[in-house]
Amino acid sequence: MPVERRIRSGLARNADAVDPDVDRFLGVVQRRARRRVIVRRVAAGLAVAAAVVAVVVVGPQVMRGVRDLGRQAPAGHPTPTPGLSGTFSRTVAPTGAAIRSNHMAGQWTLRLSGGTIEPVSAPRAFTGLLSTFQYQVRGSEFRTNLFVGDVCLNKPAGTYRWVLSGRTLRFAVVSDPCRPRAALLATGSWQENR
Amino acid sequence: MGKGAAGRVFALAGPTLIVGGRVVPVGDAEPEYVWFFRAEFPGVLRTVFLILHDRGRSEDVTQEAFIELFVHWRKVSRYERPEAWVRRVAVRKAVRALRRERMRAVLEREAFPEPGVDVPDVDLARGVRKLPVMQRSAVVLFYFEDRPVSEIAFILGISEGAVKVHLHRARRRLAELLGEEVDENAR
Repeated sequence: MPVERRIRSGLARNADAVDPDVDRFLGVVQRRARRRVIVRRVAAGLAVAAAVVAVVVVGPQVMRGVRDLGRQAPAGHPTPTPGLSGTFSRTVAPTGAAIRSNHMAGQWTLRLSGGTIEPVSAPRAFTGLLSTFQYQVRGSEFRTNLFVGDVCLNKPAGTYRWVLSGRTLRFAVVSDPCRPRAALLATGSWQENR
Repeated sequence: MGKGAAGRVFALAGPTLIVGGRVVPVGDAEPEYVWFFRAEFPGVLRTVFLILHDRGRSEDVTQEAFIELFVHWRKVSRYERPEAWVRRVAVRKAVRALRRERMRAVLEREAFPEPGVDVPDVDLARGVRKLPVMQRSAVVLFYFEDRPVSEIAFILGISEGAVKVHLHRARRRLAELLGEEVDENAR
């Protein structure tokens, strides 16, 4: 017998051995399917609720952060900073809770230029945003919103006194509610890179 | 009771769900689904059984496919051929189940389980069980369901050329196992 005919007839005969009780399966499938639909709808509802809560709770904080950024350095009005610019480095020791909890210990390099302060290198373990931030210099006063995006989220800018002696830059905290930023800037001196 | 929201809730037939204060009927498209289920479930179950050769697992796989169909019924019922959709889901689930079973047998260094013998043509069942998963599925869809190669390609998610190769190899292997002759011109 050609194998094709054998396959066709054999499969048909073997399939006939299966004679399901369709109504029983229909009941089972409907019950399980309804349960699954309900679970999916509840999960979707919860996801929407979580999104709404996130917008309501986090949204104002983000908006405050953005406004704060704008207050510190209004766009279109760059503050002249003739007294301080350059690239400075320092090694931050793993001392203090603010440094340790933010994994800030290690080698840092900051570039300050034209009112923009940018961490150009940071310890690998540091997970904060390395972006560009703003600073203002008025006489011996230095203000910055460094790390306003995450580590110092929702915190106003910090104010410092600064002094550049030769190639060594030192900051002293006047007021800064963001302790990690204060610890980074003011617990040691910065060496200018040339 | 008036015609307020509560009245409408009680007027709804079948199970309902309240989401955010809104009453959502869960099974409002069911009459069509029930009709489709009665028409297609036995055929899909038989096809899956011929691939898996295990009644219990075939029932599980087929039920899962029809549960997915229920969940997506509003969309799938508008397709030109909803039965092709549910077959595709069921056959793919069967293929995945077989692959898992074979992988487990390899990992646990166990012999692949012998086929069940509660079918009329035991030799053919044993022969089909010896085929690789895709050859087995292609053979069932082609010779039992009489599906064209293009549709088998859609169901298995492979090219038509690959389907032809699977069928050719499966025919030769089954002819060898069953001691039958191969007609190379046969379709």
